[in-house]
Amino acid sequence: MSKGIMNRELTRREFMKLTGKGMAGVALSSSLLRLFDCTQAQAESGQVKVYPNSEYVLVVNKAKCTGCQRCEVNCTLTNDGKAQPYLSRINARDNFQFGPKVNENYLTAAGFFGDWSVEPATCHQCENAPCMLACPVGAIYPDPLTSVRLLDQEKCIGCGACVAACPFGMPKIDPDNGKSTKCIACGACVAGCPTSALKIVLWDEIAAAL
Amino acid sequence: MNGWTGKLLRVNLTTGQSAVESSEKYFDYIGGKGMANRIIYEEVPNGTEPTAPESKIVMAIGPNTGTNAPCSGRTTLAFLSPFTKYNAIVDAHVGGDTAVMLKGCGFDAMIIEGAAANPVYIKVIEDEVTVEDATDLWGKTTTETTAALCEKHGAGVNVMSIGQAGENLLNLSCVISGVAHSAGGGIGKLFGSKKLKAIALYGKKATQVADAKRLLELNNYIMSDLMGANNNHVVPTVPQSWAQYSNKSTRWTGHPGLTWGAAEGGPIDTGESAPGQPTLMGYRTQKAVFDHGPVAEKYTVKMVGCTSCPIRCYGGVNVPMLEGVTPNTTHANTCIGNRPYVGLLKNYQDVHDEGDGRMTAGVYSAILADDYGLWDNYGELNATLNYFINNGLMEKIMTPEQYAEIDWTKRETGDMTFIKDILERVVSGTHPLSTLAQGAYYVDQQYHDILGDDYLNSSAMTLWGLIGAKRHHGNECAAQVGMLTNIIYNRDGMCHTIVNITGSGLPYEIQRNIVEEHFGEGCLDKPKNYTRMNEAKARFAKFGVVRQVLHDSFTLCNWVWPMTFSPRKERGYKGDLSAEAKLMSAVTGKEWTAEELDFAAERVIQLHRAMTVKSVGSRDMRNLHDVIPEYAYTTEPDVPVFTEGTVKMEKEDWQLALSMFYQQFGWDEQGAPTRETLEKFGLADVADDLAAANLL
Amino acid sequence: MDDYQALENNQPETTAQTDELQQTPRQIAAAALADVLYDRTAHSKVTSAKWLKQNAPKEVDRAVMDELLAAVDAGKGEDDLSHIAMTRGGKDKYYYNASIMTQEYARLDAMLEDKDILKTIATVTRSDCKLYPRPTEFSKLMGYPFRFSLDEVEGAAARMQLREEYGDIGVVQASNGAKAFYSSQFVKEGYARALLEGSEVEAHEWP
Repeated sequence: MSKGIMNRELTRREFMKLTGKGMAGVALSSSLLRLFDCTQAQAESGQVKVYPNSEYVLVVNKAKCTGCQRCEVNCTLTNDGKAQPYLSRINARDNFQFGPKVNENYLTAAGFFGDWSVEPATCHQCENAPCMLACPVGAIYPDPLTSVRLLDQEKCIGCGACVAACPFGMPKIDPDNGKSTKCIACGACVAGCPTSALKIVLWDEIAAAL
Repeated sequence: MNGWTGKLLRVNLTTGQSAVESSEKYFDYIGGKGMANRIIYEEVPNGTEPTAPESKIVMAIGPNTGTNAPCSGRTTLAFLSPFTKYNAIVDAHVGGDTAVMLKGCGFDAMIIEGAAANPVYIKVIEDEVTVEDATDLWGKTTTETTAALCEKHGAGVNVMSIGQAGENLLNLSCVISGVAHSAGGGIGKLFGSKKLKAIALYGKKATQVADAKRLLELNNYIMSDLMGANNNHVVPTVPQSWAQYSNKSTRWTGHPGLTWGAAEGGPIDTGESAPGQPTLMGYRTQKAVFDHGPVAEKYTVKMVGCTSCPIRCYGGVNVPMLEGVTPNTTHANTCIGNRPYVGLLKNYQDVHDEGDGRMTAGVYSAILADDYGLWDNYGELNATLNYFINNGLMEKIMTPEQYAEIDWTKRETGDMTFIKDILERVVSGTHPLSTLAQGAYYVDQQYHDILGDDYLNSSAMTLWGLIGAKRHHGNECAAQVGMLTNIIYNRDGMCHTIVNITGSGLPYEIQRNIVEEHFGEGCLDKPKNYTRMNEAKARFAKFGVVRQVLHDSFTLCNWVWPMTFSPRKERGYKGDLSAEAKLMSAVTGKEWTAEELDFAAERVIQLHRAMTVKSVGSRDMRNLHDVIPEYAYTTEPDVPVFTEGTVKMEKEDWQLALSMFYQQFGWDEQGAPTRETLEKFGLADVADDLAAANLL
Repeated sequence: MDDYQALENNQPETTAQTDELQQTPRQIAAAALADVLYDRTAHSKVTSAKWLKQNAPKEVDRAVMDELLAAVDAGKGEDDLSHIAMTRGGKDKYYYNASIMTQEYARLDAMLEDKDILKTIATVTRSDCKLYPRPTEFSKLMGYPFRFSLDEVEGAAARMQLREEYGDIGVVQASNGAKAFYSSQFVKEGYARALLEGSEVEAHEWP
């Protein structure tokens, strides 16, 4: 098992070197493309984003996203015991119509009113996570085994520092309990996507393909 | 509180004030249609003009809305019909994002009353409710309105708006939510009469559920084991390796080699999406190809649809041939909505491939119609326009100058701009063509001297009844069973419970055996091979509407639900008719059975029927409301009734069908609810009300 | 010391899985054969005996393959071949993984592999007319997975008229020109035409 983690970490570093901040402009092997379920053209066009964490890579393909928002409620039903798209750690509801904001060229830009592309936004599981660094009580911490950035709700004081710190707007304060929430890479969103626009690819599989 | 929010929002457009009230007293009516109908019953006096300030619009959702139950993103709006005889209670249903957003705002319902002096929009952004000036928006298309309000309030805001059709008070006008989801029934006219241009919603609240884990498991079970494709067709159109059967007429069009041809980055193959794969089921329904033909494959970007729905029945296309012709080249809709006025042309001008002319004209007409907020009464407006053209009646309703202004030759040459020439005059509200958008009943009222009796009774119109509502669906899908479902309503029936069964794609024997288990021998005829009415058919027809009303109250999409069948051969293709009750139990924390839920839905039907009786002003529903047009009896004249090859009905048999159907609901021989029945459903006050009006 | 090093120190050294099953050559051959058949079935194809003879996996001895397939033919596929079934076509035997392909589809694909268009059309038409009932549209036969050309379908219609064994197969036409085959064994011509009119024309004009 330990060897597996070491291998995983190596693969992650290799992968990050290869894909950098994204997949655009990267030539991927056919087996890697098959794993990510996209073509080279799709990877090059920037429509496929990857979110690596210590367990797996979350692949988001905006050509396949149909804006159904099932990912959002799967997330909160799984993690918060209620259905609350606002609180979800993956967000399509705010950008599926026009992209993040309405531009003058909205009829040809992203979103349902334009070119149909929808890019659900989610946690990047940052190495030097701003949310983790901003938390005054250390409620956000890396899981010792997987290093996924988790949140200890007992410690959380609901100050909102993580909300302000995150450049992607991901953590939110739950209005029902006053605590912060964040993505813990549970995969519920992936299980809820009817078009496999979200895909989990395990590091072992990537190692084989690299 | 689980499921429901327990609150409703009342907005008065005369005063501009709003109030939050409890919705709990309406829970016996479930929510959605039930809640909305009850509120209209209590607050809008019988005989109120639909467009009067005292007339109200109630928008409502149910305990199941927002829970991620598959296909739970539906909102029901109840109001008095402006376009059918008797102006009785009707519901419109709209998908998109509205339902989940209304829940997110914390409301089970919104009551809109009064009328503004100047154009306004209702803004509900989190906890702030205001009535805002919409003068700048008046005259804008629904697309422009949505973009303007999202620019102002946030890109994720859900906007429902009217276009010119509603502003100009056409009966056949709708409200458009988001990109192309429509609430019809003439509600655009009510919005317009209240000077209500739009509603903008954005909320962050939760839908609380009793057992989230159970709900997640249930949702997965429904999607893995019970759901097929659009209309819950459980058999694919082409043979596939995992399937025993295939049936070319179903909507499970996805298969290897059929793609979303214009997808970003290259075509995406719809492939084989066998049962048990919820993460692929969104590829089963390639609706652009189904509606526009094979030529649409390469213009299909992706399928879209309502929030929470894994079926994705809206075919999103990008048609470059519309560059410079329409404001945008992309559109999505489904069924008639994809090609509402393509039938106005007699030919089509193909550009690159055979069939792309018809597709382009279809998308063109859809963009126009949705931007105008023009409703078509399930194809009736197109049929009426054609009826007037084909029977030489256009010249009789216009001046020679007005007639000469229109280039009628475009119809023959297939110049699609003919559609705009017609529709822009229709939506103006001031041209004689506008009078053809009143709904068939009022068109007949105005032009009976030149229409005669043929128009309302004609197979060219295929109405379900003489109150002016379109057949959607009826005898063409399931004999008396299909036709009976319509009489409950004061608009097109839209009951998909039955047609989903007949169109499922399964072999007849399998379908028959499964439904006969529920309703008895003889309930399901072979296609176009009908038999006389029987009790089993009456039970089947009742089930059809009870479930539909349950879905419209719960909410769920009746275009997919109930789960009568399953695509799984391991289940013998049997579905699970207790799935709704299981959802209700997981959400509310109280155990419900299917019978209990159906009983609550039937309560809503009993109320709705009583309200209709009041509007008709007579108990004689049999002769004043439940009358089907002549074409139903005369279609396929060379084929005798109840033999193979015809869908015709027979007059005596129809009267027997009505009698049996009335009995199922506990109504008298005239089709009116009795005191005993009303009291059984806890509607003693409604019985008293009817009695006071001599209608009991 | 970082987390990973601590874990390394605490965990016993694990070796790769050593308790591999001791498989006989026959079992290895069965597994290899099953793999090939699974892969081809997953691509919606049945596999003819002839193809297997020409493309046998290297682990599979010819004689052993014959024995293994004979067992499958008898419904007694061994070990990994227990999910493999055989359907007999007109020209060969065809193998497929029955856990991911239905017998119905296997039979259809076998007919397509046989390239006997008359038999294919007649079989499908009789089945459609018996089950649903519905006639078999020419357009269905031109689409996936049949992919016959219009010429081939029209030609087949003409040829079937000359063959007694296809005496029950006829053609009906809808008002929009669409044609379909029907079998008089199961439906009358008039009924077939009415059904075709319903699916090809009425369903689109009056949905």
